[in-house]
Amino acid sequence: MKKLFHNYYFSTLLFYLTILLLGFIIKDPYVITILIFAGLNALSALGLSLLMGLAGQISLGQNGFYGLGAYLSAIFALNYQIPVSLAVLLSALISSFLAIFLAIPALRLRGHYLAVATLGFGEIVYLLLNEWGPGGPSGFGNIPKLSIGGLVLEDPLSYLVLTWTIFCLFFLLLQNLSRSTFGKTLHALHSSEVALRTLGINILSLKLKIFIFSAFLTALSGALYAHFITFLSPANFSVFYSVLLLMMVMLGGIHTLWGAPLGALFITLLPEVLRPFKEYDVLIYGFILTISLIFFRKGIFQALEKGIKYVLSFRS
Amino acid sequence: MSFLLEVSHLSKAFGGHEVLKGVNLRIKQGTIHALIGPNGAGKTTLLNIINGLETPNKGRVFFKGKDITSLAPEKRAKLGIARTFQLLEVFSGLTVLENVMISLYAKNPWGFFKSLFLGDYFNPQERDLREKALFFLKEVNLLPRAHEEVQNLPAGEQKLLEIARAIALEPEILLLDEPAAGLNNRETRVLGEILKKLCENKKITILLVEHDMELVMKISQHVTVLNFGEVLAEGTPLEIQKNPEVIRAYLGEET
Repeated sequence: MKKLFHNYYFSTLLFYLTILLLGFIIKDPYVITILIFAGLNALSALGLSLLMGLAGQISLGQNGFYGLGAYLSAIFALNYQIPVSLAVLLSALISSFLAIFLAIPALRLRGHYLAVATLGFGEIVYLLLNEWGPGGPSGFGNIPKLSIGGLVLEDPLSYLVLTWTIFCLFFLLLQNLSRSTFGKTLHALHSSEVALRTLGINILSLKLKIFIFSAFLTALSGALYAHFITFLSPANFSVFYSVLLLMMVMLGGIHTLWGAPLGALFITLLPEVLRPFKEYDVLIYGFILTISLIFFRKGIFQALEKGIKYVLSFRS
Repeated sequence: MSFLLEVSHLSKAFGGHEVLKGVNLRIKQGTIHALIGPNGAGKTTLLNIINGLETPNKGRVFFKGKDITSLAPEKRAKLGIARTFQLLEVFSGLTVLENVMISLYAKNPWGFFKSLFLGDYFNPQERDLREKALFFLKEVNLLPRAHEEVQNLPAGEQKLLEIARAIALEPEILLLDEPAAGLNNRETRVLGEILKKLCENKKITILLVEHDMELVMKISQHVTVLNFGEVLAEGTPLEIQKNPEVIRAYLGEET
């Protein structure tokens, strides 16, 4: 029981409660909205962290899945009157199904080649949203809000709870996964694919599962985004979003799943904190990012871990 | 007497360079069969072709009488062919125990969703795997190192780990690529005993590629000598030691 108390279930719960408490104390709808965006980004980044940190596969096409999730869900709810919660789930499932068609050719590639192939996919989705998406480049609105069992989530606070609950659920599941032997097998992809093959492991199917799950998380995040913001335009789904996710994962710490939520919070909150600097904010933003990548080479998580250990060593 | 593994008229060229020229090899069940020869004789390429990492230009590979020439390595592993590598291919960043657990998992995998929902703490299969893995580590005397990360082990022990990982598949034939390279005399002796034990107690047939002649002569029942991609000689260790052609290939021609 003591072992259970010290493990990741406990730390995840603590993290979850901290975020919610922050929302309930501050109550300012603006801050809560930012925290919701951070939660959505964290969910997307979790997908990428799974792919990059655990399985060592890079993807620059996450914006494609994010866009697919958002647009599909919005269109389902708006044009086909499918209940929103169902539309969210459906769009995430369809997007991850589409991921198979990208994954089968792309996952035969490695490293930079895989990055370029996925980049191409993201760009294709972006162009399609521009050409074929409702409203074209200027987008469309009036997307229904999410409702669960007749209860419409109008209030940002309720959406905050929803977003971070979903995130923390998947966060726990993925930590389960990374500790299982399946997760270790994913980790082994980093060091020797040849050895895995000679042990009888079908590498393509292994990578495929992870790629699909990663696409599912990012598409789910996109769908939740659509029903929160209620207005979509392709501009939010350019390759810049993938780069942003990459930055979150790298800055948060690529060797741990904690990198996703920490990086997402950092990258999402930083521009808001820098608002008072007015026209210089982008400059300072870039400066801070560069500095943090230099000093937290292994990510914020490891820096925090070190810091806590340092403080504890003083007390004893 | 049927042969467990049979290689016939195998040829392989990389670019214009012919590495194997019509090699024939037959391995009896339950024996330790050594494959020796000077550097560049094509030994590793032959192993790669037997376990499917390379495809031959000509010739066939039969395993238990079945043609497996065009089978993928992962399928051959399921049939019972396991191997180790000359240049280490361990899973760094993971512990010794976890390396073996991956191999056991590969043999009997469970679903993705089971891992997702149960993790390692709530999944009884993980506990079974752990115990089984410890058993295989004991076979190669690596039990004290179980919880260390593999990259921190000396090369000799990493080789032993590769053997543990391979026998965890419970294979019928084990292909070993220079397992004694980098080991000192005492370690080599221990390795020899381990291999003998595997062959006698577990009935694993072993194809041993090795440069350490003392080890080869001590534990193998049959030796094939490969030179410039061709079989130079075949026979018992004693016959090979006396074969003038082999001596010439190794020591050069007298002038």
